[in-house]
Amino acid sequence: MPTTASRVKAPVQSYDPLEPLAAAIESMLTVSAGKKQTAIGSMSFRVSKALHQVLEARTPQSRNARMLLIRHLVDIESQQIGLEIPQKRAASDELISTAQAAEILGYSRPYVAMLIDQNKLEGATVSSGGHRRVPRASVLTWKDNNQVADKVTDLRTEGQKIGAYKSTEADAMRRVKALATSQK
Amino acid sequence: MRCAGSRHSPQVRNSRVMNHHPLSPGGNTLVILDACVLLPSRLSDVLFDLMLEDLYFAYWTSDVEAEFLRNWPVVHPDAAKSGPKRLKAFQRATNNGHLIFGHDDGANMHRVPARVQANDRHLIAAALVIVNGLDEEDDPKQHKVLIVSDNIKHLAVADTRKLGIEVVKAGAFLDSLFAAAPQRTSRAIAKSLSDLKKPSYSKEEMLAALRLHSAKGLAAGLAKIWE
Repeated sequence: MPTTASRVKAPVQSYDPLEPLAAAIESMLTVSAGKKQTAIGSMSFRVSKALHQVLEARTPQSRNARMLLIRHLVDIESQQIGLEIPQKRAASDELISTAQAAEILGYSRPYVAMLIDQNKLEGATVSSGGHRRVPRASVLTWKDNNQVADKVTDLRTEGQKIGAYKSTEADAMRRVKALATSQK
Repeated sequence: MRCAGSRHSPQVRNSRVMNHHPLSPGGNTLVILDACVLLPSRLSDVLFDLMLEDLYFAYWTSDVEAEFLRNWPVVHPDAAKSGPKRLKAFQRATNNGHLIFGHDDGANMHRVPARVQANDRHLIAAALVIVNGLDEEDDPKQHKVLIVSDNIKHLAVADTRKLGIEVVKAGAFLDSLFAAAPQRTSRAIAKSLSDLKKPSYSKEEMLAALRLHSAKGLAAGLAKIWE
């Protein structure tokens, strides 16, 4: 039986599944706080209203918040009844930040953000606050599919082999300029 | 011989980069390369040497690749069929993290200044994709997004700057890297000289090529270091 401390401990992944929900509620409360307060504008009323709006909307952001909340509740409940979730699956499903994905791939963070926005990394999510998260497994799949493990030939060696230096740089420049002029 | 993957693992490379791009201390320098700076072999060699030295990240679009392949036989008539292999080598150098996706979406194209020439609009739109990715960074102002092209007249430099994107010629870009990080820049270029044996490539030829591309500050600096 887990202790209270172990039950409230964050799930395996470092990403907080309640973050999108909290961010959306914060956003709504910030907006409502800016408006003139009324008699029914108590904090509990506003929180309740924000929860309904966030969790019941038919937007992708709301669906994402709902799914993460469900998953979090299942995590808590499974710990309480001693249910074991296979470790391997949990690790492969781990959601990581764009910075962590950039570390793995050797890319910049904005480039990873672009890959997520263009649906190149399966299972990636964007919170209502704009924070992107991506399954570690998708990042590793991209790496396997796109990155060459053993680069045997570098740029210059390849250039020599293919004759990239046969034209002088001055000739190449002249031809590039002529092309630019002809394409105007 | 020097290879991107063998010199630094992606993890090492990226952790080095995060705080070591000299044009954007504390952030990344993210550069869209135009086809016109990829076509001359000596210039593209230097650009990739400096990228492999972790001085910036290089990107381009599928439009740039199409233009490169279309123009390669014209620029290199003695190696007319080698364009695809040269392009493949560029792609490998970036660990296949070069291609911008989604730049042709209406939302990005719509933001491109009206004065940008029609067949160069993809460059600005690609830079906007990168700018869009900065929104969850700690401080987007720490980063620099550049377009390196020798056709800057087509790119409405002043209007584009308002979008947070600098447009510079290749020579100016090389000069700025040397000014910001002279040791790392000269080290990368010196290594490239030692790599070329068949045919050999002398320091004088390298300096002449840099002057040809108006990288006068870099050429003068290297000449002094190599004295």
